[in-house]
Amino acid sequence: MKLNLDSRILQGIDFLHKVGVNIQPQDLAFFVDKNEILHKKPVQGIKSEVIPTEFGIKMRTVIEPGVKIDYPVALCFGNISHGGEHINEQELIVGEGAEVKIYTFALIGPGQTLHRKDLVTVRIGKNAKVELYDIHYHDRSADINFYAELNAYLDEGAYFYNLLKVTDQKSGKFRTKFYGEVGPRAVAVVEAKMKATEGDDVVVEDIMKLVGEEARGLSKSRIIALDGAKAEFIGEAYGEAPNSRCHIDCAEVVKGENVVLKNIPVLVSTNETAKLTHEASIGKIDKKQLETLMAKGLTEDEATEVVVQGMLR
Amino acid sequence: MGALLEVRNLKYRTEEGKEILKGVNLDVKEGEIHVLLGPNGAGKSTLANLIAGAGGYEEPTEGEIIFDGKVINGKPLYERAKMGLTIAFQEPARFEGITVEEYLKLSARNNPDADIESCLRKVGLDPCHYLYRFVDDSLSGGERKRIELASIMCMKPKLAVLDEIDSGIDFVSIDEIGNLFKTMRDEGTTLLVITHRENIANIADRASLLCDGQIVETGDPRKIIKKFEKECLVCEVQNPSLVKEVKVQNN
Repeated sequence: MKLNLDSRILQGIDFLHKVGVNIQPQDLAFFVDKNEILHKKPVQGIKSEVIPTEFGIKMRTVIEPGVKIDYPVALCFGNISHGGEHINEQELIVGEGAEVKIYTFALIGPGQTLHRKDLVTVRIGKNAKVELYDIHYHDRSADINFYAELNAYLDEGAYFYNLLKVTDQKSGKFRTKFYGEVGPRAVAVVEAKMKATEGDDVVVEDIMKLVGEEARGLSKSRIIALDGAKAEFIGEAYGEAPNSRCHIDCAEVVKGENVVLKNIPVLVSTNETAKLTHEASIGKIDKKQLETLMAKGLTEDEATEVVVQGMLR
Repeated sequence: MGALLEVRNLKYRTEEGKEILKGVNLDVKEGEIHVLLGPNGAGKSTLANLIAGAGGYEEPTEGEIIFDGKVINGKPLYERAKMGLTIAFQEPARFEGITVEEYLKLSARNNPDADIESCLRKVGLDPCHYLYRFVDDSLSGGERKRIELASIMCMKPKLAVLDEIDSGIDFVSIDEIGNLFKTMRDEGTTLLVITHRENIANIADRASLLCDGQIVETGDPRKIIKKFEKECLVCEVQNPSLVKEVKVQNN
């Protein structure tokens, strides 16, 4: 099928290639440039309504109970050159026993000043399974202030995996907040991989509320902060239900000087059988890792790059 | 064969003034497996790190390290590796997001003839099961050490310093590891092996005994093992864990 493509889609695809996502235009289910819908392809099993607003879009997506989509669904939320205020509101409702894997790409083009908010709510039905990969391209020449909020509500036996990846180009002023309510025997796994370069100010906040018996949560963050960057991680776990478990794991790695890092764990248990754990590290790359690689003939800089790229993968 | 590695009057004192090495003299001949024995705290790992340029890039307080005819004092770890001298640490590091295949390819980057799958097989790991696994905490200690040995085989260095790489590997596999050392030697890598295991020491061509920061004897491995057991263990009444370990091995 020949696609009649707006040049902005091709530009978006080019951005994705720059961050290592090997995707072609025909693989996209949806492409919006701020509030201009440039491409929308029906996906069997998914009902989606999109309403353009003054500053972005409102999107509501429903996956009916029992529907299993056996290929990844790719959605692009770009701001190629509009700049200014940009607000996306999305709601994803996944029915009982349904399964889906979704890639969302946040693409920010060059030379703009952008104040963007992505507000996402995911409701996952009983025994449903959702994987959500949120991959960003932020052009280095853009002045970015980004707030990404994800609220996930997991019903009994549901599984949710989320990966947020801002590892190439720049992060800008970026704050992300995850809030998860995890029901009985449900599992929520959230990962954030961030790179903060000079002038970037990154805040990652994960809040896991274990509200159902035997609920499970894992929050894992890897933040690399280069010269002159600021980064902060706040991990909160609330063990409210019997035999619930949550582990928060954050490593913040410094590479360079004038870096400010913070790591704030909060573990609150209101049920004596809940178990909450936290593992945090802040510092330079482990000397032993560097030496193990340097013993193979890699210079210190090469070894550092290998370790960093591995952590952010 | 001449000496591939010569250590001459090597001394090392910590910043706090503690003397760890007190004038070590050691020759490792090209093409041999040379085992270094010694009680805990004798300075074996310090010596290994100084030879390789590892351990926080510390330099000896005095003395010379000559590798392949060149004085290598002051050369960083990676330059020594490029010259053909490498080290496998007692606890090799783990890496998130790096697969076994990528790790072995990094190790083989100066050896275009390396066959990474074959190296994995030689250390007893099936490439189908291991190539795409990550070199992270999901591997057991024994698996990680086998992968480290495979990485050294991929590098094919002139000299590999193996610092207790056999610890943490189950007794059943120890003979297998011993045979692997012989294969590495036969393929052209000279080995300096630090070990506490008698059956590893037994496969050596020569052995040296390091005691209190000095080499007290070098020669036939069986003779050195006996000396180690008779003299060093007597000294080690204050170190019962090692005595117990050696007794278990002897049984």
